[in-house]
Amino acid sequence: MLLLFGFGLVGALRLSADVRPFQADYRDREELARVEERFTLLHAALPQRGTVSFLPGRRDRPMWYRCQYVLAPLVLAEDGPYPLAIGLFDQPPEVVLNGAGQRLRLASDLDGVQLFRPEDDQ
Amino acid sequence: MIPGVLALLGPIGVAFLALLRLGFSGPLLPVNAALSVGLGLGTAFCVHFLGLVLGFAGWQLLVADAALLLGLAGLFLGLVGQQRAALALPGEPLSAWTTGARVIFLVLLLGGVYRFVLDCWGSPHGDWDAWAIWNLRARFLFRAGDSWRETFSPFLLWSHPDYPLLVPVTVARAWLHDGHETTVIPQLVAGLFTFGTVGLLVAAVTLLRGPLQGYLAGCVLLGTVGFIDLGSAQYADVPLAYFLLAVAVLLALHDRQQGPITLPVLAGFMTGLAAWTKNEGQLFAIVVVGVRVVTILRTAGVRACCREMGAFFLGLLLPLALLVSFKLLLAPPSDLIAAQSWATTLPKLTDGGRYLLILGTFAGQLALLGPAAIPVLVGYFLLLGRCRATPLRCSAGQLFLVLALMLAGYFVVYLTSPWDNVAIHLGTSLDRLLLQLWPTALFAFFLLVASPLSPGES
Repeated sequence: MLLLFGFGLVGALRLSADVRPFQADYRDREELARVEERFTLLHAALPQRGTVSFLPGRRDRPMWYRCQYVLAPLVLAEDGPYPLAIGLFDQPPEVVLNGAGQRLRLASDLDGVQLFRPEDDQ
Repeated sequence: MIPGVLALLGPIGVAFLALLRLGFSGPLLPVNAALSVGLGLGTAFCVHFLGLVLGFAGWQLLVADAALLLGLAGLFLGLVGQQRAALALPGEPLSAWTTGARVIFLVLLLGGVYRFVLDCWGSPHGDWDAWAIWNLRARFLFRAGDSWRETFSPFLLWSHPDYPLLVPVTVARAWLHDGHETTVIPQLVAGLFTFGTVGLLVAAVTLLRGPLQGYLAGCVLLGTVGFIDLGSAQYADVPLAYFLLAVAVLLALHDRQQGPITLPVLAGFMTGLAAWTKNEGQLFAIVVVGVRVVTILRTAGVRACCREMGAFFLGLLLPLALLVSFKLLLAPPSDLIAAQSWATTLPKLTDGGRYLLILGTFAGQLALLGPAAIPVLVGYFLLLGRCRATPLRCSAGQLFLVLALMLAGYFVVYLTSPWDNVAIHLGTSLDRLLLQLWPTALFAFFLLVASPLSPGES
């Protein structure tokens, strides 16, 4: 019996001594908060639902997933053919091509996340 | 936030009353309280999902949801007569050990609650898969209104849209009742299942083996490093662990009682909810039916088998019908199955190194679970031996067989895994798969092992 109590108590002590929940990078907490904040501005320029192209310039999959989580129910289609596009470029180009070959121009850049619109719209 | 919380607690309360009516009273009351969590949330899930599929949205869905739940409760309470509890507590003498075990269990429980709350404060959206899969799906269901099917877009295949929807629908349903999103709801759902699992384990082992064994089982589960963290991560693994344990408990009670068909009906319903929680739950449904059929045929004959399995499938019917329609009409094929072909699978099946790698990882992870929980329990078993009660030993034997077959199933999944590097697949998931089975394994263990207060049982 003491063996099992000892096991339980040691496990509980290990959990109590674990300080990870106090750290900023715990379970992506701060990064998610940053993305939520960054997209507050972008939300107004985007449709509430539907699908937009997603051009992950730096192929940062975690960032892509965070963006999707924040923007749901808007669907982010990787290299999709849609005229409105969100980009993740370190050095955003002025013009990009979406999946349908349509030329899109940089409309805004918010802390590393860009919004591209069809050239004709601007 | 209060309407959202009530949307979760309301069905649990109704389930509690329904179980009372079915005879879960007296000594069964703690088991009733723990089972009500899954039964209530699971029934609410079925009703809400049916409403979604039938095209209800917004306030229509709210009204349909509440009306159907209240109607079901009224119908049930009106039609089903009060049944008496037949089980009696084992006559274990109260001792200083039992009191001590209760105190240690309560200390560990407080520690677990503290850690859970701390985790929720540290990561309100949960860990990676919580926001990338489960809460993402809940956001689609809540925010998209009648366009909720967008969550199965082919552009979202990375978020596994084939995964069952019990957890996301439960969260989205509470958000809908609340009127807005709050991270408290998925945290509360996670908490209900995490501590519901602890409560169910302690209550069921206490009922069948006495309070000392019950508290010991609770201490081991709460002392298992990783269990509370996995619960607070808001993944679907702990809800699945809850449903697997619920099925195990209901079938063990049925073995002990051999009375009305209520228990197998409930076991069938909980099996269906397990299948709706994660794809692993579908494997469990197949395994548990297979083991049960073989066991009853061997021990009680064809007639008893037909009677119990008829009742089991009656309970399974609604969740299974919904699941089949979900898989056929909404969900894309699972990546683990869609990627299989002779050309890709055969080389994996004939790769000896792959077998060794998977077996080695299984052995390592099992030894590290807890950590070292299994060696501790083996030592405990060697010291005390088996209990005398044959029905309980039979139930434990069946459960260990189910767990072994589940592990064999997981082994085959890893063997045929479409991942380029199976070591990464193992490294990112096997610990969670083992924790899904852990509460059921502890339940089976404490049914089997002799009590420290009854020496010479072996």
